[in-house]
Amino acid sequence: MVASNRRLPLSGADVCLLALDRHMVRGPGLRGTSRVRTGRNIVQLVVECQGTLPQERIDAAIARFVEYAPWPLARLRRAFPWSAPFWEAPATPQAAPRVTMHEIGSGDAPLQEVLEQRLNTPLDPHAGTPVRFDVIDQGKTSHFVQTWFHPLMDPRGAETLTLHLNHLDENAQVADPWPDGVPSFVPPPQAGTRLERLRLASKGRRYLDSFRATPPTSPGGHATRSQAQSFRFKRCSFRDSGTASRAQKEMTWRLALVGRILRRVWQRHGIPEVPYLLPVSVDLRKKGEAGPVFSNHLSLHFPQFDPNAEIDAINNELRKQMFESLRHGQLEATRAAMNFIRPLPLPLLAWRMALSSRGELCSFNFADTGEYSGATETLFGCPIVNSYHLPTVTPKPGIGIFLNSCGQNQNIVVTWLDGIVGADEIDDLIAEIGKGLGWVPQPVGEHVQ
Amino acid sequence: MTTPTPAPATEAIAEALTQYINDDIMAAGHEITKDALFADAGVDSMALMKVLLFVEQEYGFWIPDEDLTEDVVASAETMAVYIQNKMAG
Repeated sequence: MVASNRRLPLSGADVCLLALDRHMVRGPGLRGTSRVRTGRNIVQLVVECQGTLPQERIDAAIARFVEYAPWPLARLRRAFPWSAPFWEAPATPQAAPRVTMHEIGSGDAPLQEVLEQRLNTPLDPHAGTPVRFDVIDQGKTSHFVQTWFHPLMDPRGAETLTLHLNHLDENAQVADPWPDGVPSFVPPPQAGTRLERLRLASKGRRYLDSFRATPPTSPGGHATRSQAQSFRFKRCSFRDSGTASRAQKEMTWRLALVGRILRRVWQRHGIPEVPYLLPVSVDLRKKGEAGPVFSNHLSLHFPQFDPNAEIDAINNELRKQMFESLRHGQLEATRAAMNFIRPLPLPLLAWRMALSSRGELCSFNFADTGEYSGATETLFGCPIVNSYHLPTVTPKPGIGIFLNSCGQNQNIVVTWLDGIVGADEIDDLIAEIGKGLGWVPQPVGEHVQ
Repeated sequence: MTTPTPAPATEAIAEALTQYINDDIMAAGHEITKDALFADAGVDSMALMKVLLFVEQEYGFWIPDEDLTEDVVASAETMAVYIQNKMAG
């Protein structure tokens, strides 16, 4: 997959997200129909800084960036229902997206209100830009917020975009901001011949089909349409007490812990405790470089585990599955399989995605996104104090747990559909996950630099 | 009766590990040296799993969980010392 000057094809993973997005407004089990075509598969990246972020400089950096890569101005297109969708850059120069300023009081509550409002404001990628930029000014601190329709880029891409904008700001007076060559903002072409990729895809298809045997259950199984339109989120910052062993810092152990703690939600709501099935995104970018910004540079691994087992047993099972997946090249096969289903109409694609009878694709969403890039300590001249990403979740499963770190700040972010679980349940979940990870809660407004 | 294959030298193991990591895990232009700390180079738990699979394939044994300590998986060099000891012992 590679972009022409004006067209950037969507990857298979991107198209699956489109199908899920459709599922969010018209999915099985959600009463009524909807003609809404705005995208709700929205993700935010929040970068918190000391001081006030300069609106004019950010606007200038965005305007300069789109001269190099027009994709923040692109529209989502599909020539026919059976053709592969793509991002289309405008044919004539257009004004770049501008930052919207919000001045609010201090504290977590007003910040949460604005972020939640932005998260709940759909983007229409067919008619408008697929990314929004906001600055939320709280006096002593301010927050640079990117909100985008997920098929445009993944969270690591948004981090990289932030770094590029910062670079352009630092080199605002320089004629050529990338004298060693302009970075590649889009993924390279797919490797291998079509036949090779087809063989891989066939293997990936068999892997994906194997999950039909145990359909997942989730708290969002009974979500109503009104719930499916409104997302809530909660974020807490912690510092690492340093008591966790090396093994406990591994993604599989963290997932085991989260799954084990989430079991209480299943029990409290009388949800059948079948083995959890969930997609874990794996970043395919090579280490040491930022990599492309746009498109989805992820593949998926689908772990399954019994939440009633002890954490160490779950961890061992998850590690075994992950090793087998790597040993057999499953990640590349899954990616190839997803790329071959790109031309399918979205309803057919949703049917092929092994949804349960109640419409679940997975039991809950989970991501351990690792550390926010240490490549910069300041953003537009303001010291960075924290960063985290904040995705919406599909109505079914309706809940997602996301772990982020930035410097010495460890963040737990939970997003859920309004009404499917209580806010007090979320508080308990966050407290227990933090405790299990060996993290100590930080008072509001305090960050470790 | 066959003569056991002698264990490769630590230096050679470290070089093989470093080459694998640079070829398969690190981006071009961001190669690591054998004494570079994995944590600093961005070698995360998924990448480390790939390294463990490489060790199994090249040296014929699996590093057990209890041996996966900070000291052992700090760098290609520390892993090489462990592998050499394991094969020699």
